Amino acid sequence: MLWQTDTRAQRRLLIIGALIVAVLFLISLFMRSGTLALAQIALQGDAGLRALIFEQIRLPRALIALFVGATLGICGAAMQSLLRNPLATPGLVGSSSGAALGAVLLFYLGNGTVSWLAMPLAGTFGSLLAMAFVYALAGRDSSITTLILAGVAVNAVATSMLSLILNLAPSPYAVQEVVLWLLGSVANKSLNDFYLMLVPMTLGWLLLRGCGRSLNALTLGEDTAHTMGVNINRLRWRIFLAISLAIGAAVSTTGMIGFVGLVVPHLLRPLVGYEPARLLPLSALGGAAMLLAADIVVRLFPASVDIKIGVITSIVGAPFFLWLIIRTRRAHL
Amino acid sequence: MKQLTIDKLTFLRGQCPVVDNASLSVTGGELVGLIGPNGAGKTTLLKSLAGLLKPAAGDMRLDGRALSELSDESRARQIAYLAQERTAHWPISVERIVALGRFPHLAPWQQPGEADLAAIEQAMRETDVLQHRTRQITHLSGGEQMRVLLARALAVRAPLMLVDEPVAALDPAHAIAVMQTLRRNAEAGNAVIAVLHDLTLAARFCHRLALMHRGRIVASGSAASVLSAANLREVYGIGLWDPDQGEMPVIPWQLSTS
Repeated sequence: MLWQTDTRAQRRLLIIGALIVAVLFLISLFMRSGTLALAQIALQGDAGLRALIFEQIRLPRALIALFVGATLGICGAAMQSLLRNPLATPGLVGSSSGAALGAVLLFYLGNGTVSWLAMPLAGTFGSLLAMAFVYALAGRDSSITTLILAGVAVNAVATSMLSLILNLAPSPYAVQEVVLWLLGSVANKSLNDFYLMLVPMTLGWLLLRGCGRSLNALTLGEDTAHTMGVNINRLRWRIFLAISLAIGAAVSTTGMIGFVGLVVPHLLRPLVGYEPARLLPLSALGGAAMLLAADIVVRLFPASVDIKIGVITSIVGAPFFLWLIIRTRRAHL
Repeated sequence: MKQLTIDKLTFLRGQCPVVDNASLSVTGGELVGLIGPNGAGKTTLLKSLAGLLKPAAGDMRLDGRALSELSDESRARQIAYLAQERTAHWPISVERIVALGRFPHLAPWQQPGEADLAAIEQAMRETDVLQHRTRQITHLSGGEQMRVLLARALAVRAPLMLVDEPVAALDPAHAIAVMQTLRRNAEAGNAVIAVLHDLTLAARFCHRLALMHRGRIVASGSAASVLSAANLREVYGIGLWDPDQGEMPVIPWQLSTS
């Protein structure tokens, strides 16, 4: 029976994906980066200090890359499935830019005195606020087009506010700091950062649990899905809330890391027969693998060149995006 | 025996009644053809029954229970609906599209069991899409896609089935085959309402016809009584074929046995 074949294939894909993620995670943990090699030379012989470095530098870095990547992947898959559009990104309802604005605003107003532990909270708050604005703009029973337009508007406002903050920044150093932060990085984080990020992120993940089947039903359009017992409005706002929480936590911890949420679900979709329910968990693994790999690439550069991970994902992602558009256009010719 | 009763149903678009005081009752075992010209209110009536539109007034009951009281899940198990729009947003395989029909019967984490898989298989066989089961739905022709979506609705195995223009894009052979499927499904004890434009097929396969005009059900009963020359002239503005005209009408009637 074909159904069982599909189920087995899905299990196999998840196992292979998990193995790839595990290998990349281990490489990330034990890889010598430029800066760390120096540190190790200084600390040679002192096993206790080496363990400290492992725990305080490498472990949080690998964990954050893993979880943020997984979040970007699954949220991208959820957004694309919900809007039934392969070009949708998790930031569509303003969650990324809202989170960035929240975190930067705190950074700026706090003038360095606010505990950076508050950043994820400010980011998540900003992201939820952005979603609330989209909700208020679009209304409850809005069409997808109205929602996207409201998202574009809120994104534009958040981005312009970010520009304003940069514009008014008191010193060029502050500008540099904010801009570099926005580029996205998983380096120089502590385990506390990771734990703090994990709270809203887990909430988001939990909300996404069990949405897959309804997203499958949505393949046949909203009317048909509704007659299959799917409450479209509830599903929509549940996913938006989930994405706002998870992406808000991710962005405020690492800055904006683009294209993972767009590219990963798109690459994996043919492997799962284009089915949203099967795409979600696989995209989480794919996103984690992509971000771990990007972070490994970042560390291949010499220590003097500080390439941000968000730059690497964009450099890979942008040409892919272009190819996607060209291919979609060809398919419609 | 399932019994659907629609009592004085009215649906307004703005101030204009799209469905106007419509009353109809359908019993399990019956295939009822809902006919009428474009804009008569057939789809609106069907969507109201499916829970997609909220009527302004009137009453809809299934076995005495108001449809509005049913939960989304319970309604989904009792009413299968085939929409007029035939969209599949992702190129999912035929079998997995049809499997969506079992969605209302499964708990969120439940995989389809033997009975579900049998229902899926039978629905594909009845609509003649079994040979396409592994193909992507978007790679099929319009008519084939329509049959896959019908299979999805059949797989629900709901006591009430609402189908909107099930034969619109089909060749004569498949149109007849689909009508036979709907009739068989009705005769298995279910109530089936089909919106139809092909009056010949409607007259041939439906147990009963209901004719809609400007939101009202103006005639209901046997094909002979509903499709009277007077009704056709008044509602559709057409006359029947007259042998004296000399031209020959082509009326597909049954599947050839060879």
